Amino acid sequence: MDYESLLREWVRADGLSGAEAGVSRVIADAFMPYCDSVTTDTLQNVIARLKQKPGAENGPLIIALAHQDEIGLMTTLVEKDGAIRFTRVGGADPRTLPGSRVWVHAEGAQPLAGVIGALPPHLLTAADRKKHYKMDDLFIDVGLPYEEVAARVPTGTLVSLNGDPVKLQNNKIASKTLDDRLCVAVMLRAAELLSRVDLPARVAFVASSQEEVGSRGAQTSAYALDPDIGIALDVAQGKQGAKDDADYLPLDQVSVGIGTVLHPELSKLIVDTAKEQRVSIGREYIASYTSTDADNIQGSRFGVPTALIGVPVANMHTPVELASLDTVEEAARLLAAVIEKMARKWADSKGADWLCQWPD
Amino acid sequence: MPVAGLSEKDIELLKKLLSARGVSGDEGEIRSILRKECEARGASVMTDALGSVIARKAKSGARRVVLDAHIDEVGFLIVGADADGALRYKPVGGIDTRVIMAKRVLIGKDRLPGVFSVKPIHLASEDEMSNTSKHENLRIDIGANDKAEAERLCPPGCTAVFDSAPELFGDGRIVSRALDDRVGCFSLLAALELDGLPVDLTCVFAVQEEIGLRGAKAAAQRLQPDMGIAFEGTSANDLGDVASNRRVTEQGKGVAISFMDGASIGHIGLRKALAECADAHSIPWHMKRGLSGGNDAGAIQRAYGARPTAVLSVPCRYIHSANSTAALCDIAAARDLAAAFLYDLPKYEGRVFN
Repeated sequence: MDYESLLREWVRADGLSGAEAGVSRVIADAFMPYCDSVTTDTLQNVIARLKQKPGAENGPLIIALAHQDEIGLMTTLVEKDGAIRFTRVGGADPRTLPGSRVWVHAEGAQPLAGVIGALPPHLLTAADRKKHYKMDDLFIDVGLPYEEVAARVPTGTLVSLNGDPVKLQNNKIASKTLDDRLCVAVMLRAAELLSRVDLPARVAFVASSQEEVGSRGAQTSAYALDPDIGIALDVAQGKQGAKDDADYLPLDQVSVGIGTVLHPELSKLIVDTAKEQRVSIGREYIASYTSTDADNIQGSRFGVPTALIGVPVANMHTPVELASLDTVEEAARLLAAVIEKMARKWADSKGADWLCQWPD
Repeated sequence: MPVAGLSEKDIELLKKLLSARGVSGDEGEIRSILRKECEARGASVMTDALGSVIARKAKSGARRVVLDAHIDEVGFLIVGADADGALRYKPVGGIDTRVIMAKRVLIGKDRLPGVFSVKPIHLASEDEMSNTSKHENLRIDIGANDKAEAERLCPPGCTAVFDSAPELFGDGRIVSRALDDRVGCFSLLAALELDGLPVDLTCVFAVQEEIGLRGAKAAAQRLQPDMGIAFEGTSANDLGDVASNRRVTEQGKGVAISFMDGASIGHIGLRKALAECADAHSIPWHMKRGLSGGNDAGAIQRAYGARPTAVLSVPCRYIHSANSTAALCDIAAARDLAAAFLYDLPKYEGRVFN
């Protein structure tokens, strides 16, 4: 799969949390060839049901989710000189904004190109240099007079970060919004791989909405689908700089979540499958909630056994999120093998018993 | 399509100048472009020992006038790599660490892409979120796996610029890195196109301004002109509810004429003559009010005994960042005032040279 071209299209598609129609459309189109149906629900979740093999109707329903929405900004006020004040949608990092280009999504028109202002060093005091800008000090400059800005940019206008993918060494890529379209790409490739397998399970892939503002799309789509097993796919903190820290995973390992929210049998199954498939993994130990869609899948209805797989990304929540495309392929290979193994295990044990045998 | 006094050809030239690399001390790419552009305009061209391009259109017996713009830009010098392949660097010229977080760079002649690493917001401490890092603690990531690979691809000593292609935006504006001072180079190239000037014109495309006005000093000592004008891209600081006493220049209000800055106080007769000339030709101008920065005029003024100098600037917002902006009408005004003043200089002879 040509992940670079795919991501180039996907990261350009509009998808700030809550305004995800643009990215929903391109993702839905991509899943179509491998699916019986692809639908978009009220919250703009894309639900892609994998082509079902004969006999699979008695198998479990396994859902995989990766979120399609992205962080960004929202306008709050236009100053009398045309400078636009803003707030954040999701956890955009204010330290990275000064001197950046953005797109201001003015209504009924092409987005306006904008620049986030910053003082030149010539005017800085020694104290200025020591502190990062605060959100309140920043503004967007769209190079237009006040009247035009006020007319075209009402309060609440969405602003996306500017950052097309750039290819780095060793098949790595830096781009905005690898969180989490990279994992949607993992699902797409897994769908392709699974379409060649006689799979005794029903599978739905969900490109979920509004994860960055509280995992809302996962909540409603997990409820609606009522799955037997859930797998969340989200980016993990990738190793960067000279630091050697357990919080970060090397970019060349597929991340596997181990922790309170995640079902131990599923985590074990994933680790075993990785060994069989010779996929290099890094374990991400998560003591409480995961801050991913896994939390809301697990808590859906009567509780859903849930797993977490992902791809490590460095510089998270910046326009230069950095990851290895080789790891994307490995994660897809692992995801497909894991879903197949879950399906077989379900068939062998004639149901979900293996997931309900808790140790004394 | 022509915009705000610039033709399509002008905008194409401006974009070409802005796209070339030229970190102080590594100005080869912009230098060779400027040499060709000067030759195409019929100037006699030389490159001096520091690397400045000196383009002359001689006229014997006339006043020897130097127009100066610097060709270098702020950027980064690669100094090595850590064991894990992350590049260490030093800033060349004044670059605020607050504007480089998560920015993209192009390294070396082959424009190898890299990015500034940022500890993610999820893991950054309160202290890291509010206090800036020093350059020595920041790294550029090119995706290399180890030190050897990183240093093979980016040998210590090569330079990097922000990855920020010029683009028109807004109401006749341009956004790019290096507007400081490719807008000045643009005015000088336009001056070299003028015919029948009453002056002996030399345009100095100076190196190493950003690290201490070095190229201009050497060139002025060689040329010993009768007067000089430095063309700059200077700070604006005019947007975002800025108190009036903090504003330096105003974008969209024409060329800025300086009274003084950190490197020189302009010649009063020359400054007034420039303002009068602008008014006579209906060229929009305003005074630069802030005194920030310093530029080549300071070097030219005192290079070999005192000479009258002035500074004409294009107001640029967010200079020394990846994305500075300028108004095309201001770029046109700087160019037009240069031309008008060169033709009119005999009128002001007594006031400039006595």
